[in-house]
Amino acid sequence: MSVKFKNVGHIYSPDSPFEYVALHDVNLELPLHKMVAIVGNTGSGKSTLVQHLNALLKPTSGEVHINDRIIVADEKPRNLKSLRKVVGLVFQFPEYQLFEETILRDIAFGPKNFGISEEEAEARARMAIKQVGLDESYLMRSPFDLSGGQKRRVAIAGILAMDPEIIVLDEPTAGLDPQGAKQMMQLFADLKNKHNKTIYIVTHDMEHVLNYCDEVVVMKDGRMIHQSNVEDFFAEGELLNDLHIAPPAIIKVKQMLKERGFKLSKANDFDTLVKDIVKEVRK
Amino acid sequence: MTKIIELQDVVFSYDENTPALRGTNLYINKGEYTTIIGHNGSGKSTVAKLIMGLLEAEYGKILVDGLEMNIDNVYEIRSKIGIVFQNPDNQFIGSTVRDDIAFGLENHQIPQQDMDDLINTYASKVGMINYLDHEPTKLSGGQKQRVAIAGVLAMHPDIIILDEATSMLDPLGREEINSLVHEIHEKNDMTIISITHDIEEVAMSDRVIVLDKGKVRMEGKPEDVLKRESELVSMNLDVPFGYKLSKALKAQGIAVHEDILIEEVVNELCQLNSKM
Repeated sequence: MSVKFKNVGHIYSPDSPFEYVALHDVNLELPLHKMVAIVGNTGSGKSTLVQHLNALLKPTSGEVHINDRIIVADEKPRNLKSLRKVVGLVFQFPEYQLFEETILRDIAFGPKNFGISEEEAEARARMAIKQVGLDESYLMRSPFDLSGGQKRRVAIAGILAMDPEIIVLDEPTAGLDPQGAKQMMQLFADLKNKHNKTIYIVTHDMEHVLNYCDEVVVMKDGRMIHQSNVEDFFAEGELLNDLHIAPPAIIKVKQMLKERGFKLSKANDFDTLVKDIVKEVRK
Repeated sequence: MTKIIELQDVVFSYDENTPALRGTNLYINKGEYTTIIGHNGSGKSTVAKLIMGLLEAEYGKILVDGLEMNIDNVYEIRSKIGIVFQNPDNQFIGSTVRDDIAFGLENHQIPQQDMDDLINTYASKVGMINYLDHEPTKLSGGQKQRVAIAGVLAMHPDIIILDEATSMLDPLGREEINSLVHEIHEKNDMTIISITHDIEEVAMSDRVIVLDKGKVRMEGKPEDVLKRESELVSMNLDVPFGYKLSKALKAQGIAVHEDILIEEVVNELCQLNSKM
């Protein structure tokens, strides 16, 4: 069981004046049961990459392997429903896709679409709404009366109700306040830790990468240019500069102090930093 | 300091169950860069819409540049203010980026030649000069926000309201746009109101207003307000990293001041280190 990209290329509108090469020969293996961050600047191919994970986009060259499924260029993938049961994709601003009269019906829509009974779908909706931190009283309300952050939660609950093994999220915290964003990230961490899910997350937020993710994949100009664990990623000062990535505050402070002669350990947590600084200043 | 905007005892509800503002009093000083923070649903965007006259208060007064808002002067008030909403999709009108930036200028009867200059100047300032003939609806979220900001800056309004106007930009893009707004604010006698979650942007502003459940809970200079950790945390808000670090070090007996800016904390530490 694994997720692999083999020589994957993706060209939008090929053979037309709008032809655009979004992915170049991407080779990549993504681990399961981890939280993996996919980072890179606007237009680097992050969203194109993740849309291959549930065959929303097909490669124009190469192969995508998801568990025992292989999606290849020039071949119409069959039985997409079974793939999309395994891989749930949450778009940017998923709240724009809410459409039902009640939250219950909106969340239950996905599972019902996969042939799950009305009763079971509603039971899953009840569980999913709690997983995203809202109580059951919301279920009978209209999704359109909610605040932006609450709508986002409902939209994510709609994916959770389908119980996918792999959850792919494209900038799930954009536009949320810091606390709302933290709760959202904690939710994904719980899904990974307590429910053994695999989480792939496209994000610009390096604080989230640092605090919640296990691995990082870096995209640039449609190419995969770096893959490592989080600690090694943040130790790559040149790579971060080159990508114009604004590092988390703690990494920034560590870089500034190191440049000015402080000796600091590799761990990127707050208590270690405080201890190290105290040691250095008292030296 | 002249108050350019004032809300007095303003009450507003979207429906019976959700009062957004509950007797809110706040003011904005002329020429200052004011940030407004608060968790989602605290009433921040409602304040912006009331100031623009897009919503009507149920009770209380709204004063803008000496005018008490009413049905007769709402258009005069709006002409003083440029606003960029969180979701720029809701405010695109033109079929190209150029037309869209032009739209606001046309409404202000700017001569054609000046208009072209302004469009080029601001499109290039926000990094969108190569997109003037593109359709705004086909741009990415961040690019749309850049265009919306260019459109407002080009109009040189007395007051600019940015309602989470850079939320879709990546961190570097956000820094670029923030420093552009700061630059324009400093050069012109403009009043800026920025509704934001970006605590580092707050740290750089002249004054901060903290909203909670439709009321002003704190206001003042960022270096004072952002140190009130327990209150901020009780409202689900963050404190700047510089403050967290300097406070933790101080508690360990290191002689640093409690600063909100990282640069200042690092400078102090380096001085301490070299003295030893």
